[in-house]
Amino acid sequence: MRLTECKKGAQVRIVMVNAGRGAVGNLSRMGLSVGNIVKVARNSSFRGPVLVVYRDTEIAIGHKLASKITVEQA
Amino acid sequence: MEIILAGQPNCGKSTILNSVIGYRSISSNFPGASVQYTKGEMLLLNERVTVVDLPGTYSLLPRDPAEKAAWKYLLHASRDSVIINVVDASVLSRSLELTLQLMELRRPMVLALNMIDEAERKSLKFNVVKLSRILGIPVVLTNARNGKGIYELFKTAYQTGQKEILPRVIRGNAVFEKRLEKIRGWVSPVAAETGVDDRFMALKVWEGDVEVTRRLRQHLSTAAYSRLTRQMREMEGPGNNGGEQVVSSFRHHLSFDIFEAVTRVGKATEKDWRRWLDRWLMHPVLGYVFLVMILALSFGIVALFASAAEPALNMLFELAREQVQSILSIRGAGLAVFTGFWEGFAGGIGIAVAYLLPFFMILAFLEDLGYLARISYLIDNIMHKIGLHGLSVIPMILGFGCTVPAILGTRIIKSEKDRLVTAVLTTLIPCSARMVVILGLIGALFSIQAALLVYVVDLLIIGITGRIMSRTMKKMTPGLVLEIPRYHLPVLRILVKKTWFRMKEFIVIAWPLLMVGSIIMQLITHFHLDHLINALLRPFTAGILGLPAALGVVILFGLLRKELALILFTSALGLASVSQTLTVIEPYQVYIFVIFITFYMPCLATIAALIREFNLKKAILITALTFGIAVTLALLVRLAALVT
Repeated sequence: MRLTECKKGAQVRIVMVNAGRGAVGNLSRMGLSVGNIVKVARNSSFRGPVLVVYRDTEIAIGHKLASKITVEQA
Repeated sequence: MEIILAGQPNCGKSTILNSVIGYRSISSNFPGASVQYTKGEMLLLNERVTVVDLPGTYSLLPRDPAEKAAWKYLLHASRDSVIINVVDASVLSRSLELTLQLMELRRPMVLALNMIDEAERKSLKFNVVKLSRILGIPVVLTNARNGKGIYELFKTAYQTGQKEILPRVIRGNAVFEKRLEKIRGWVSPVAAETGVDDRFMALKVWEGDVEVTRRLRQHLSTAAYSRLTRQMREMEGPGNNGGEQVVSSFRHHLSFDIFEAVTRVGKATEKDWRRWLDRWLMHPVLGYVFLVMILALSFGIVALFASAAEPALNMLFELAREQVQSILSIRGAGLAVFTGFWEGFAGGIGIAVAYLLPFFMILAFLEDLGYLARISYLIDNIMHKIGLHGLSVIPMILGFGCTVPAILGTRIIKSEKDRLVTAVLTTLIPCSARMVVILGLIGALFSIQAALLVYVVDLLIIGITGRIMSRTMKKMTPGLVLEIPRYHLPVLRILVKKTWFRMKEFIVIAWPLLMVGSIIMQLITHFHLDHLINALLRPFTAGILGLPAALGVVILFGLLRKELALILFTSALGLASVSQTLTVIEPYQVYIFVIFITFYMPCLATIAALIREFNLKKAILITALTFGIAVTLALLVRLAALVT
């Protein structure tokens, strides 16, 4: 499923990031790379960014980019 | 000796630097805000040492200009340098990933476990001795906000550098090490030749680091290099995502294991006000209500402060001018030059003290609190509609104060295209000088609602321009990826420094231009060139804009100082005060004038800033664009007035 489809509070593992090189790099340097587990902290507003928590840090991911991230229940 | 401060964004690195050197650096709670690295000097154990504050980096595989700069600096740092890795102790497990990368450099290094108070609040207890033993480097507990442990930190760094204590090499599992060993075999002659650690070079080449790979290729034959890359590809095998993934996951697991080994997590005792605050400030609906309220409050405070400070300053400068003038007893063209200089001088201080000071102070407060990142989060989807993302909102808000620091502030945006679009839109934001004109004419003559309408029109124009620009420029915008920092209570000392830093940009770039501009204006009036200019501009002023020809010179001078347009406006029309305006011109002409002045051209100082940040060609293009927008809008108002 896509990251944008996750409910608040879900623990998910990143399976695939289907985005450009720059975007993948921006994500991975914050620790958001394939295999890592994040918690969805906020995903409610109108096509706004998805807020995830990775190792105690909150990171906002733009909606469009978040929709390109495939995750699975961890 | 040189001490290098390295760490992730928001780790308090700049605060540490600020506490040991003077008013030359800036600390920030916003990722990437300290783009340029800062140098300073301090006296340590009777020796002068240089302290360098690198831009915050999440990893040493650089992704943006700031990280690239930091990485290059570390790679080329002198042999006798010591690294202080500053770490936000409350997010230790994440921060250790960078620590491990820094350790690979095999340089004398010290770990500063900073923000120890935050960690205590989260009930994290660290076994410092064990951590130091695992990493093989000294670990010092610090709290930059109150200066705890800072002296100890620098003393330890100095001693570590003297004794050249190198970090431990931490190995991965057998499979990982066997693969790494193969690469190491290829690179070690080159590593020895270029004076870097061979294990470090092997890791970097495996990861695909551009800088290190380039260095390797310079020393390796093409045949040897292609055999190495083939071997690396074979090692990856199916289902693997390349060397970058392998190496980063090695560090990832290692950092987590170290974190687990040295940390005891107790029960959080304190109720977290931050979470409570975010429940309201980042609420999907109420968040926007609070955002509008906070912005309105901020601008309200600025307006209130300015309305008190400006008249007082004017009075003071008027008194001083009379004094100076009587002492100097100059007249003629000399007097014009003096008057121009004085007006530019006083006008600059007027803007700086009455408007910029309160504005930047509040902004620095919101920034250090961590609220600006949250504004980016809230605004992201709206900004996407004009082809940008949330980060662009920061320079745009700065633009409400002064366009010059706002243009320089676009540096926080990574994509060059986004940066340009943001800069264009920022020039259209009504800065405090334009606020003076809008409120002084529309607000005073008609109503506050009418003045607000001009603001709404302005924002609409910004939206439309942004949409058109991002549609026509093809390059894709990589989406928002932004750390939302924890709330911090801002420290006054740092707020003052940050405000000063931004005002300095105004003082250095805009102020001299204000003075030169004012002198030119006075000389033009002195030699009665204004009639000539009015006559020359007449086809434009009267013909196209439909304004009295006497305003031609006002429009020209507005280029130098937009807020002066208001004062000049009344005198050019031969009025004693603004309130008499409607006796000589029609209301629609007032609107045309204000809208034209608001948009028609960035002021001279802004153009200078644009040239500095981009180039001459782009500055000219942006100016032409805003001029086009201004003429179009003026014509539209004129047309609307004709119809009704």
